[in-house]
Amino acid sequence: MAENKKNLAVTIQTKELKFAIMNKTHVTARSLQAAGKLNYEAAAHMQASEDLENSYELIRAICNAIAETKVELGEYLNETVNATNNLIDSNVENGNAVTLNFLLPSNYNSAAADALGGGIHEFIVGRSIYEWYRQTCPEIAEACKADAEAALDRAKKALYKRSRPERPTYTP
Amino acid sequence: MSDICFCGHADNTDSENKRTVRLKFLRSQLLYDIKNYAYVEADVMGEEKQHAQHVLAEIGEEGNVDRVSRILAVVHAAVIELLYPWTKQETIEEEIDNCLCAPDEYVVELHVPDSVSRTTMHLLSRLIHEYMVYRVLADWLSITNPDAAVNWAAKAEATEGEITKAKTTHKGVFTRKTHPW
Repeated sequence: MAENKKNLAVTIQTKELKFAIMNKTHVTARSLQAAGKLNYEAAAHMQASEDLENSYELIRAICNAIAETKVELGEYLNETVNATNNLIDSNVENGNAVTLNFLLPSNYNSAAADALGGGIHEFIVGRSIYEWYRQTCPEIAEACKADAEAALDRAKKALYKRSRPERPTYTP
Repeated sequence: MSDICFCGHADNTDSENKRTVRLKFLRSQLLYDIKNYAYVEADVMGEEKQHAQHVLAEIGEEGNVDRVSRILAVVHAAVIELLYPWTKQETIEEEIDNCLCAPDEYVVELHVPDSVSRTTMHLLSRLIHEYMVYRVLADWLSITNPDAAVNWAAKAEATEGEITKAKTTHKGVFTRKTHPW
């Protein structure tokens, strides 16, 4: 017996991701430097940027985080991929949008859709910063990983939100 | 209130002082109750079992509903058997297969003596509806939340007892046979 599925497209603007990562790493570096926990050089290095030498790490981290998102939330992802490779996703590299198409149960609570989009964004950002900090500031990398996992939990919670069934009605 | 009626009766009297009563159970009403109770069970489960919680709430969704259909078919057959001899039928000579079926309504046809009260039929129809719902929930919860499954299995067992009781204790006036001496 076929049931009505709900389609939900989550569009992730990769420019927003890159900005969020660069902005967060900038604010964190500035705060640590101001608190005297980092010198100028270390603070400069821990700020992610789109300079050629840094951008590869940044976009690779974003691609990995998007792939991990697909694994973690794959239960309801509607994808028909039959070939893959280790190249960087051109959408991420060129700053285009990446869309995750979810095919959700008919009783999915659509009120949680915004939280799902937000949670995915936060997870990708947190996971990417974790990879960046593992190389540039290992002392706080684990804290970023914990933040990313918390964001993923929020995304899952939003994905698993269900609404009460509607009472059937009949026309005489 | 026809939109909330989950069962229907149709009866006619035959030549042997028996009536045929058809109890109809709409699948949509059964599914609504099953999904509603599953939603409440999932809600009170707590968010620490997030995955099991959403699987429980999705009892009526594609794929999962097939398990529901299987159990409803089993319980429907079990109810008919439970109500023997009122449901006695000729042995069919056709083939019976195990295809999954999801009818719009589950029908229980009873051939009851005239002495059986209409109120008994009403009670039976309510009890059978509950019994079908409980059995499905007990089965699904045995997969998703075994602790809660015990409650629903106990409810089903109690309701089964009530169905049997309704069948055996509402037979009308007992008359002692006359003796020749």
